Amino acid sequence: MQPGFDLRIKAMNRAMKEVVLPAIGVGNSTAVEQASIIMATLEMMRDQIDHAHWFEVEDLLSLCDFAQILADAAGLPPDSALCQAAADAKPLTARHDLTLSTLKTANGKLRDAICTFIDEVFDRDDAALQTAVQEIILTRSEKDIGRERAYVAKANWDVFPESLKPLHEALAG
Amino acid sequence: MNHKELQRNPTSEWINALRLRYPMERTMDDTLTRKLRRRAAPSPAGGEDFPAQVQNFLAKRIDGPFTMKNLRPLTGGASKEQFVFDLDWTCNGEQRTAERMVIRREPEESVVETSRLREYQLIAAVKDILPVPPVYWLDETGAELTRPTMICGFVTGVQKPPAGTSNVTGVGIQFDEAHRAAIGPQFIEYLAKIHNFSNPTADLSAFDMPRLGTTDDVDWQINWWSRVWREDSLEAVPLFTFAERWLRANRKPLDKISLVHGDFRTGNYLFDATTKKITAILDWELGYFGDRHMDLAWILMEIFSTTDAQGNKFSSSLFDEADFLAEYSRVSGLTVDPERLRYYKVFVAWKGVVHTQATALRVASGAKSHQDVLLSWFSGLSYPLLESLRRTLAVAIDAKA
Repeated sequence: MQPGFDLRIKAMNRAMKEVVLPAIGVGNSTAVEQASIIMATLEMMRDQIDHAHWFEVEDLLSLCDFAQILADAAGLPPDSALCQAAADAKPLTARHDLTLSTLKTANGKLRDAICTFIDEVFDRDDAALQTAVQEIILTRSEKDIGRERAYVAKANWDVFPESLKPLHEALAG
Repeated sequence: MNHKELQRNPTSEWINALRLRYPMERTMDDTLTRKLRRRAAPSPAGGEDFPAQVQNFLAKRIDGPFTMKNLRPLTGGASKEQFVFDLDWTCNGEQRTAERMVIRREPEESVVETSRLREYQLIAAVKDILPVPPVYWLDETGAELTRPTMICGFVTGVQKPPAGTSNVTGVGIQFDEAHRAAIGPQFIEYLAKIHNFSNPTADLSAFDMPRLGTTDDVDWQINWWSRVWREDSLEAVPLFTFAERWLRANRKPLDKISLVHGDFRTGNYLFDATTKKITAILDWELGYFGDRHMDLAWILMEIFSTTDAQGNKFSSSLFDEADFLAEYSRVSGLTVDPERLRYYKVFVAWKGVVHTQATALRVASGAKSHQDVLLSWFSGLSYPLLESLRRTLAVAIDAKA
């Protein structure tokens, strides 16, 4: 049996806490600070790793929907760059035989296509479309950012507790 | 080469295109350009004898004998390499023994790429009206200390109460009522002095002055951070792209030219743990001349607020927002324009996303800093910042409707 990530990370953090950190000495405050961040990062990764594939698929799916809604608002044809980028990405979300980095690459391409489209809209003289796109961005972003916030919540940076969901709930949408 | 390859290996043509597309203050343009050239041709790792470099640097600037002792790294801060040492020397005829000095040296790349000359000039300019560390020496280009470096005096004080906790870079410092009551008025008094600063004899040659009644200052700021995003971001963010367009479309002409600190908040000053008196205002590297609302919005950012056990929220760990703005206006004699404040609340969230989502990860991914692990951790802050950006944009758009 392969040892699980959870076991490995717990073992690493115990070694950091009980052996490495005490050996550094209080005089080396930079090393103490960095060791503490390493431990906190490992703990966050322990939380993330079980959800990593789900997270990437969910993010890519959401971007595909986002792109389609923008394309519909602008009346773009299926062979437009934005629609094409979404069409290329969507089948990947149904596959189990892809690495996280492959999904991330597709995610990056779709993000580029969406942002290029946004810039094109705001370069044009079409106030109605700009207002529609603005609405779509603000509405879509709430859920997408909520998912990202849940993914890094263990870092303890968040300041909007009323809308911070547990990771599982944020991914389940 | 595609954009991602150009970000990793900047060509002269790409750098020149960025400089043309994003006009900004001369010294900031120089600083960002130097960063990209360094990225294209990194200096060889290791090999430098830093203590010997410092010794030689001081020997050229100190008249008479001196002794440098106990050079060692100093913790704190995500941005610059910091060291302390003790110096026996004669300063303007006064014999000083074991005067503690702080070295601030730029890493290969930093979470905020800034000019040591600008920082040096600003601290020197305000030293008679504000508590700041004494600045002594500058290696503007890094010709002698490998990378641009400033040396200043060490100021005693703490960033947070001795038993207090916070996340890195002083975010989330918790104060009790006694600390808020003692520190809050000093914080406002010094902010008012900064925004009303005028020193016609100060050497501020590293700064371009915006013209009153124009958008010079905000245009330079938008271009500065748009360019950094273009240089550093690892992935596109639709909300960020839209926010940049909104900021360009909704800027207002400058109503008063103020010195803007750029990072004025709890965590960036020191205070005496016993008397609670502020002993030094730090981190002047983002300072510029422009709209005071940039500082006000920064102080009021959600990520710098804390909440006590009763659920009361304190901006910059110190104030109720309305009380802060009223007291600031009273002490400074300056107005707070609600529309400008809404605008700059969007701006500071957007700028914060540049630091945390783009540059912090770019620096860590290139292994360019002594604080890569901290910067990677710091990037988690980008998501609460994006949520702030979404909320402040919605408020500003609604108010205009």
